[in-house]
Amino acid sequence: MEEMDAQLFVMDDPKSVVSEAFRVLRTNLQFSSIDRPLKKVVVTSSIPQEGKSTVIANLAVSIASAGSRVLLVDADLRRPKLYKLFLLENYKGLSNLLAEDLPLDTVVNTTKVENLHVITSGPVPPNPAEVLGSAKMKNFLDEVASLYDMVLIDAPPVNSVADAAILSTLVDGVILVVEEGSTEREAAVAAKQQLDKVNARILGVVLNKVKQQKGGGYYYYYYYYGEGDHKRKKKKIT
Amino acid sequence: MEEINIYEEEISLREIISVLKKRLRLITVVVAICIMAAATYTFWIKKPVYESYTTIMVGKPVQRVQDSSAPITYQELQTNRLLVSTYGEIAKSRSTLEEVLRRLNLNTTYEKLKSRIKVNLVKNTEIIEIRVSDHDPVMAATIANAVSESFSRQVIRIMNVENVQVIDEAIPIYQKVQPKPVLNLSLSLILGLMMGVFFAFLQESFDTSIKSPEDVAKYLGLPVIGSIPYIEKGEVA
Repeated sequence: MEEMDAQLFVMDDPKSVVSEAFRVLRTNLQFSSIDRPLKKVVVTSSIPQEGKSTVIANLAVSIASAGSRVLLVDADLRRPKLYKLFLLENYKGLSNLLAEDLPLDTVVNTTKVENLHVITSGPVPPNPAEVLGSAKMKNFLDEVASLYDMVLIDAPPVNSVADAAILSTLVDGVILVVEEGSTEREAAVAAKQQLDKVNARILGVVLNKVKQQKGGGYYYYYYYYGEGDHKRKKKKIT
Repeated sequence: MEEINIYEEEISLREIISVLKKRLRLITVVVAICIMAAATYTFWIKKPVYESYTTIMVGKPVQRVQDSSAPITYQELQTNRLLVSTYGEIAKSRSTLEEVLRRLNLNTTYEKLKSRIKVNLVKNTEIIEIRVSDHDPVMAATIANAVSESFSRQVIRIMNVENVQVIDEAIPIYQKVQPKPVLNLSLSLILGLMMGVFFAFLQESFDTSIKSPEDVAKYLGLPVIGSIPYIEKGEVA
């Protein structure tokens, strides 16, 4: 049941508030890396069930629909989810690619969204952390980075297993998903410390499942960004 | 500097209101439980209580009625007023009340009866008011009259003067003095609100989850690069 919570809002309803929120995220991501190229990004969270897969899938759709070529990789080898979201088979995927030296095009799935390709996790290997930390994984990421404009990697939660921390050393940046009103401060802080330990570049936090205030959903978010600026300015002046 | 302070205070007031708003359901439930408990007590559990009273005047010795030539002196009046409080105690005394118990064959104890009897000294007069409460208005009046009777007898026995006169005999009053629905319900409303607000803040202080972009900045020191609204499954926003 829990697996079915994830939805592809951006694909199903591009005009919705959620889709708009993902477009804002896409823009913020673009501007968060003006000097350093941002091609490989890991999305993770502190604990399971915070909506990582929903966020990464919708972000991928959002970037792809802006015209960039996007590869979405499900590197959560333990509890893969993306294949369900995109209604794909998961007989062959990342784990096969790394273990069996398959050519890339045998595991890349096309989707209904133009420019968006997905690599599912593949069968669960006995040693996911080793697989993800291997030199092959690094080579694979370097290879796809040259083929795509953006590679988004879905990782397991930071606090549960080492996978995300390992992955974060191979990429340009990490996005931390935090579920509003649910993620404990300590869990989030622990996740951040874990990522800091491996010198990961944390691009920022995506607040997920933000409760909308009645009668002002759309407006509220834009107002919020405005208000944030206002506050900062005010503190500088006084 | 001042500007900042005003700003922060405004935020905290807004936070308080938002906490109350968010926990409105909890507060409502607590208030409802309190009112329901009070209503149950008031209307079903608590037996109605009725009160009846008799007034007694101290002074004017009976002999004087026959010998009406001598007027009441100021001295006497003062003495009587001073006596009133003594008399009040006699009215509540054990011998008085035990006589009542015997005469009315009441199946209760002296202490219990005493707790149902209030003796009020009407200020600056020689008048004593005896109030008796009971679940039965007729019984309340009967007891009140019995108390005043045995009180008179006790006065004669103790003080050796017959200077107690009943002004008003007790009659049954069919107006409930208890329970008091309006008082009970409004008290329970206030209590419920207080408890509800207390629980709301308690819950809020135990909730250590990240609730806003400000929390992210405060605890993680990271920028928020996206806010994804919560959408119920199947809902189209």
